[in-house]
Amino acid sequence: MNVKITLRYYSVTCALLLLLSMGVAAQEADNGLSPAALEWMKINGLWRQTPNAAGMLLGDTAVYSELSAGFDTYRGSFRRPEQGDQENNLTFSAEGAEKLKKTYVWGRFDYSRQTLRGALYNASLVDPFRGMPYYVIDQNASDWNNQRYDLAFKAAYPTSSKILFGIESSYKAWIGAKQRDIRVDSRFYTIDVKPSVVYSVTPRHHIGFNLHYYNLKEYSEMSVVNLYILQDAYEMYGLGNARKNAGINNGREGVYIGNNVGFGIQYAYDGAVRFLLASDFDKKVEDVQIGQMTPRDEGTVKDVQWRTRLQALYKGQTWSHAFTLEYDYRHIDGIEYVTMLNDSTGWDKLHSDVRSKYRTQRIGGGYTLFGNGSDGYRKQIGLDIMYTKKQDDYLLPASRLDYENIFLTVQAKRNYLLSARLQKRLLVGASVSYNFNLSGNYRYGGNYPDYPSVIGLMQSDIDYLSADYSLGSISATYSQRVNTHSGATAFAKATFTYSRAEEEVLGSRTYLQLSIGCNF
Amino acid sequence: MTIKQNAIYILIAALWTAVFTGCESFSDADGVTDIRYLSAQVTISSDTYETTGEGLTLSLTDVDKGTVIEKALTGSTIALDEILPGIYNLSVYGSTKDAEGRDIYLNGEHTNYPIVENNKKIEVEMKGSLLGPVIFKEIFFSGTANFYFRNQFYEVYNNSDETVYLDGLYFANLYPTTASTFRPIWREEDKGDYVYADRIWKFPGNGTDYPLAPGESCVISQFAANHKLPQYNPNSPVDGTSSEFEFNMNNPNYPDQPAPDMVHVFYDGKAGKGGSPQYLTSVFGGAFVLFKPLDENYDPVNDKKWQAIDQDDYYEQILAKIPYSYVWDAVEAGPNESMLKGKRVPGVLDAGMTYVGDIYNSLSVARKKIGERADGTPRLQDSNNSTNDFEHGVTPQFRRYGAKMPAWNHTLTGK
Repeated sequence: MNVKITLRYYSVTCALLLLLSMGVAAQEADNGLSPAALEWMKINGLWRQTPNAAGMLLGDTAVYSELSAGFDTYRGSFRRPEQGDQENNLTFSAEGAEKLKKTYVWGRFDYSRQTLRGALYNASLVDPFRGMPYYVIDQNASDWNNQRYDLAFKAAYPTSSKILFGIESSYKAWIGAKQRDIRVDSRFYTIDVKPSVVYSVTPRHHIGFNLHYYNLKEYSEMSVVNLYILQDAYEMYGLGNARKNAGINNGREGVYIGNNVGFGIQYAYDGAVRFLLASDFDKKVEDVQIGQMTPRDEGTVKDVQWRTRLQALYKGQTWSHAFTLEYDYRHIDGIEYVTMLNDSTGWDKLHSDVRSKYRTQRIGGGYTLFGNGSDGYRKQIGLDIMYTKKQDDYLLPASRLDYENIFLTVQAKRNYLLSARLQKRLLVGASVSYNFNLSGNYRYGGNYPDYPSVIGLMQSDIDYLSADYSLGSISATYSQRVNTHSGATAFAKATFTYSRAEEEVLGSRTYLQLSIGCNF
Repeated sequence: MTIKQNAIYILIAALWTAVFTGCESFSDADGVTDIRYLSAQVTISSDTYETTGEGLTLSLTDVDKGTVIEKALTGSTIALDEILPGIYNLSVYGSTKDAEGRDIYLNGEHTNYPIVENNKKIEVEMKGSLLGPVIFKEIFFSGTANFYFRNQFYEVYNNSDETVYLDGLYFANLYPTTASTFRPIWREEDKGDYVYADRIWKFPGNGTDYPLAPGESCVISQFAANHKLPQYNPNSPVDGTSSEFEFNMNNPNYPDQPAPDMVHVFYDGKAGKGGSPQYLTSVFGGAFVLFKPLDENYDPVNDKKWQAIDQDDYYEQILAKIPYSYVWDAVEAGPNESMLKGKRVPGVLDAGMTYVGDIYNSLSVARKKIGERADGTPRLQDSNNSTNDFEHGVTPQFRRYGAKMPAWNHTLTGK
């Protein structure tokens, strides 16, 4: 067992022990939560939705634990091409919060085992949608077996009545393996740290500040098992531009190393109406090299993100109102290198320039009306709207992909008390959404317009991303206390979602999720 | 020092390293500007041949991205603009005549040449090579599924207006045997205007045994059998029995066929054929030359001055040097259009590269027809640029376009 795997198992084991011990402590406190109550608690905790861990102390510092295991599956052709025609996920999650003297700690662990069937094009990255234009595609639809381990914790400590300190950290380790030539074994990890502080100007006015640093690495090793069949690989460098590489039979190592720095500021007001305004800025630089023995600089991305979110919550006697407004901006510069092999020094970097730009803007808002209840809420009805504008450019020779969408969702939930004995509850929900496409174009101006990167991947992608489609979802969660003298609540949840494109040729997609779990 | 202190120091060191590394990559990325077009000025010169530049063509190919700029020269200097920063194969080429009135192919080149700064002045030294009367007409190197490679063949053709005797003409495949971005590292004494042969063969004959008249073809097969027979590969598009010659490697499992054998000249510094059971050239695409030594003492087996070694080759295989001036024709083939950066053949001999795009796909490369003689035999394109001169990915065929079989073909003489 190599060092990485050993560390990963230690991490997982430690996280599980931590969370289970929290569960035991919480059980003794006899304050179990139903799924609706847990949801309500998170909606109430406005600071929990920011990267400022210190702010957790300004909300409900509930002690709880939740364990769940589930299975979900996707079927259907209405998808981005790199997603599987079928996708199955086995998931396990553990989440909990505990008070350790004056420190409030929260932790979460997620594990998923994913199987993709008939995923197209992607032949190098565990997550081809993470904003990395430099990767490799091929033409063999393939299965992928992926595993994901996500661990996170937050801790908040009050140094005085006015100053709170906090830290949030997370570790992700994802492994992906493509099952057909060109084979890929890709390992991705991030380590994320967010130290934070909150200063309470008055009991009602709070300002917060956090820093953000994360380190990312992905090592993608490609190989070919059947050496007698020449496999064409296409090394992508943005918007369908690609370099055909027949030498992939000799293997290829892609090494992605990135660093992100950022900060966030927050202002919160606690009155009859509580609101929190948070703005985060992140800047990531990720370098891509090919090979480790004689590394060649393939490219760099400079990824800038700015997110601003306003949340407001009013809790009345009978009804409560939640309101959100958000704006996200992301700009990625794709830097390419001119390199030349030098027999004695390896690949020399002779020149670099920005050759592609990827811009995404999202503006959204939502309103939810809650009917107050003893267990979180009795019912809720909400409306969400999101406007997305995407504009990607390859500068020379010029290519462009752009689209604009408005995504509208109306959702409702009802929390039924079936029986007071053991608090038997049924939480049912339904939502309908519609994606209105305002525009969508892909124009390729580079060399080799007949490459699969152009007529296959990019064309399929824009067809999906610029589609008008409808989406309907229903869900039901049954929960009850395990017994009369325990605070533990067990639950079973089922969700079904169906989406269908207006253009018939794009097809439809279904999603079914089944999970069981327990809150302590 | 406690374990806790150690852990803190390690954590601080790790964070410092990460932040320091991160800062460097941030400052590097922030200093990069948007791409813009570059300009350059190309000037040609030649010590050997007089040329005004008139009639020559400049070709600039981005070896990574495939962008091609072509311009006709009207003088010895030409200005280029709208060049994207990159690594290029630059070639200035065209035909002329030498002092003796022979057709000469002129070429000046820079291969894998970086153009990354604006207003670059580029000097190109023009060199010449003979436009050989006998040229490669068709090459089938990819083989047939599943993994059948014995049907490889090479067809050579008399594209001139004079009868040429094949006797003593050499055939070689070049090193590296497949296109590669990793360049050989030659010893000082091995550098020069040479291509480097992996293996050399020679046409048999006493000087007048094998005449090739204008419009006649000669096919040399790896194994001159009917490959469509059940014991070989019924999917093969090739029946090699009418080949003029074969490369016989004395393999009892694939016995000598009626076609006369080529004469083996050189492999790894020796005259012997070595242990290989067949003369297999790369199914990804090799590079091939037809040549006739100008030095009658050319002997790469016994005279070490004609031998070369790639210092980067673990096996230290001995290769044979072939001066550019000996070469009648050269063709470079590679896996696909993106492997131009792995060229082995200098532009003066072949400024391009041809390909079939896959292995074992039963497709060949065939020289383009540009006209016809009065007798219906074709005139073929020969601009010393395989990218332009060859159709790539065609079904293999002997004597395409009505090329004639020489009268001495064994199927006609019965010998």
